[in-house]
Amino acid sequence: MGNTLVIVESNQDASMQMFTAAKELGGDVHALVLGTCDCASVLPCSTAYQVAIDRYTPLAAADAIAKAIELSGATTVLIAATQIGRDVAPRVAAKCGGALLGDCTSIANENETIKCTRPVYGGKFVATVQASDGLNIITIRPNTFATSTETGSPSVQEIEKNSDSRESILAVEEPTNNEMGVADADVIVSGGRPMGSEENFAQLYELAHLLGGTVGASRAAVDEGYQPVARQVGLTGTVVAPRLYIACGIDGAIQHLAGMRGSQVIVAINTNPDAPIFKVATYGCVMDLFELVPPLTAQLQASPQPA
Amino acid sequence: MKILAITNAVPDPRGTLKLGDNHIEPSGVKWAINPYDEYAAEQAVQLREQREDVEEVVAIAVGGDEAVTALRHAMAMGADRGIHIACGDVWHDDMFVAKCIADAIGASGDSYDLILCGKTNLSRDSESMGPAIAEFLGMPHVGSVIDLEVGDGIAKATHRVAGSNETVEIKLPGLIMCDKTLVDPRYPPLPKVMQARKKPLETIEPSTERSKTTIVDFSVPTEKGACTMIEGSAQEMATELLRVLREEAKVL
Repeated sequence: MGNTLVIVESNQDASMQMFTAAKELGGDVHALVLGTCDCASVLPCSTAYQVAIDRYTPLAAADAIAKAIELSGATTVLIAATQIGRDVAPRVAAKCGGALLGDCTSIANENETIKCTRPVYGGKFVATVQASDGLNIITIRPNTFATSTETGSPSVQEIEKNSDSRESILAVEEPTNNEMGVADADVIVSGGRPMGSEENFAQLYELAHLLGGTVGASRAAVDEGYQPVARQVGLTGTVVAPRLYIACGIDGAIQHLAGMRGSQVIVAINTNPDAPIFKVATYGCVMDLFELVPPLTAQLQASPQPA
Repeated sequence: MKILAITNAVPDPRGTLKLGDNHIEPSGVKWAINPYDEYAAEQAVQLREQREDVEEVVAIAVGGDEAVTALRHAMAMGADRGIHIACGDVWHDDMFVAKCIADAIGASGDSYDLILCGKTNLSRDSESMGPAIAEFLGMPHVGSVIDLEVGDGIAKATHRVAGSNETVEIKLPGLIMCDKTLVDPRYPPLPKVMQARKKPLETIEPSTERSKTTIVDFSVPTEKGACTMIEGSAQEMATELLRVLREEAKVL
């Protein structure tokens, strides 16, 4: 197994999972930190490269990753399949003449050949993909591997940032209520049409915040105007794979299932015991969500989550 | 300016796909333009309608005969002509598709100021083609764009990043990946559909023979073990659910 380069970006939890994957593959591990954090010197790897990219832009990030590939002699690059990871990985593959294995849900080293599985056709099928003999850029869905808690004492090497005048960030508009997006959330509490109104979604926000997560919505709930399109989970919304997904009053249309079935643990709360959502759920509660969400919230408040 | 819209075909998501002997059975599948590529085609056509300096809107697709369906649809929406990179209906990865498109653009001698594509391809469940094309052609790109303003040699695009809206300016030529809510795709009326059949459609060979990755198996996803039903009153359910999430699933 050749050298592996792990990319650490702003979603550090997801990035730390890549070290677990790297260990599984074997070989010498290097890392590149996109951004300025103090973590570089304690990452579980032999060399940590660092580039001062405060806010992600594709050309500058791809340039830094390409340099780190060259410096580390890596034949495998692991990137968490976050928004940023998915955006930059194909650029790096194109730039360095590598193969791309995107959105993997498992990865294995079979006699020095890397094989990954990934969902295709809206999650209806799973494809097992074999990597190339050369350089492979691999993105792995968050929560496929456990977050590495190991530390190391790598040598830290600065890579010069190459800003590209063809791309510039003009403005960043933070959401007014500071609510996190669904794309990279760790816990998602989603509501369907039975929520009935935008106001009722406040109950889900309360529960989600207690769990350290945010709120998603089915297409039906978005179409009714209860939540903005940005919160829609599903094939034509955002595909998510959080640690915990709680579906409240969502029957589970195929497009919705395709957008969340990769979640680590799924809880379905639905009055209809035959709803398709129970087919993908880990735990099922046949109950009206308005009956169950309040005691859940109350009990969580009584014994809060350890931070 | 010249605009290129990438409009690939995907199986109609409402249809049923069958798993053949290690491949997805293409027979009996209804193909349609990838829904996100429809936003790209619509945005391209709207720019031509809004601006006087747009000379041409070209649609391009990679695939077997199904790609023609998507191209004709884009032309019915208003694209002037189509380019079909014919490579049969076997599986190709994003990098292959991106390389074929980038090479076809290079070989054609046409230079496009703006390339538009969908955010996601719903066959490959992937968002990788756009950034790869941009890199092959040496141009900047913006992903998941929900608002676009095209100026003189620049594009100002807003996209969502981790919950916040970020506005980026790129110098053209550049590539924009179109997200839902960017535009509302038109439904072409029958006369436009008929007209589109007469618009020029060029068929070319792919520049690359095969993908760098190989699919060794297709399978049906294993369902998560049978769902554990939690019984009792709402209070009891809440207690038990929190217990299993903490103690069994260990996700809390």
